[in-house]
Amino acid sequence: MQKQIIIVALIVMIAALSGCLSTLHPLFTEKDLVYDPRLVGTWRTGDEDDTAVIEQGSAASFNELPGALRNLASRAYMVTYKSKYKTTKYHAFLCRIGKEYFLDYYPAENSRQKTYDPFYKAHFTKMHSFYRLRFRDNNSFEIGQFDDGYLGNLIKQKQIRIQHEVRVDGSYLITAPTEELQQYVIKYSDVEEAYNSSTRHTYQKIQ
Amino acid sequence: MKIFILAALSLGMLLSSSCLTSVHPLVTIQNIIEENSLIGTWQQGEDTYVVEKLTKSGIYREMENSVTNKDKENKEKKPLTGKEKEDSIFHSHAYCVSFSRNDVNYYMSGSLTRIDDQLYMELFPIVIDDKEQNDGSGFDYTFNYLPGITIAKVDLRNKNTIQLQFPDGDYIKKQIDDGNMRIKHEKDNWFDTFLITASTRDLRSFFQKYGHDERLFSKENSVTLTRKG
Repeated sequence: MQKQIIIVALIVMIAALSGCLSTLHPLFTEKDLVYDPRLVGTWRTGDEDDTAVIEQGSAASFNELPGALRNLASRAYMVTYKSKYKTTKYHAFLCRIGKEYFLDYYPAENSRQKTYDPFYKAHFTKMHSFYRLRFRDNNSFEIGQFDDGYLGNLIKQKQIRIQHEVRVDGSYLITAPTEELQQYVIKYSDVEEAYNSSTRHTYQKIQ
Repeated sequence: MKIFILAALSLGMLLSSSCLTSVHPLVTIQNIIEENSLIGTWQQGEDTYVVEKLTKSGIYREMENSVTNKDKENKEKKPLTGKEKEDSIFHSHAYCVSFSRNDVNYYMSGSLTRIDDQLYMELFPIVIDDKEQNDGSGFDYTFNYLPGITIAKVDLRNKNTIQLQFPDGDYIKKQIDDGNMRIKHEKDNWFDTFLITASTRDLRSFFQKYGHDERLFSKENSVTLTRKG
């Protein structure tokens, strides 16, 4: 239990410090969705022991999502990240907005999480996080996640109008609808400071 | 910690489908109250829930120790100020509700407030202790999940019986869709997301207005807990 609590506390701190932007609404609409088979495979994500397995979505892997999204499974992906300490899964949606590709990640429950108490789980709302993706070639791509600190500063300095809530701890919950989110990524996709440096990686295909 | 003894499985099954979560709290440092008659062990069916003062709970002490080790290294005891001080005061009035299911321990914080003549409790998730997940994964505070609160009306029947009435989320959502009820919220039909984003003030006004409305607090969303031992 002691180790568990320590790890939880570390995760809290890391999550607070990492500044990864997450939003309530998705970045994409159905018409923005694209499917690129180049993403499918096993990838080295940057750290030596970390890998990402990207598979084409299926009705089975998307069965926890509402019906309309299950129908889009074959146009989306299932991403499984494996590190030394944990395995995390996401439903991932590739979309083209403006001149760039973006991946919208939406968390998927692992088999253990599916057994957790439903009332406890009901207290958590799943959030979207998104990455700019740039293919280098068929065996590698660059990925960078938007930084919530950068957006938070824009909000604080009134340099942007984007729908949000200010939580009890002072952090921002971005509640902007999809259209507003797309305007943001179009405007800031080329601003390197808008990305979280710790999550910028080059993925290399293993198989 | 006021007992938020949730009706075990039946509560879980009921609320997972119609649960309403709010991003903003109903309870603040200005309106939090204590009701220590809730402290103890409670039962609903085969499930047991333990309610204790949050600051006296093992989980709180462990988390405090894990986060403040660096402060201990500095060997400096600074008085709390600002937000830290407010949090400390709030925690001193709050409760820890814990329960176990399938060898997984769940910990939630519960805090109480009064709105007119009615007692309300809000629940907020703290941590899952799952020995099978040594990496600490679960519904913890990563950026992939937004933790929210649920709210229940508390009826202290007597010192050995409590009834918790949770708002009927499905009813509220329908009333909002039909234009009969107004409360700030965010909804995403595609991903089936529904989140109350009303401010604390507006939340309290909402329950002040609808707190006695039996359509909001139906018997189907009620749970009765009995003191154990």
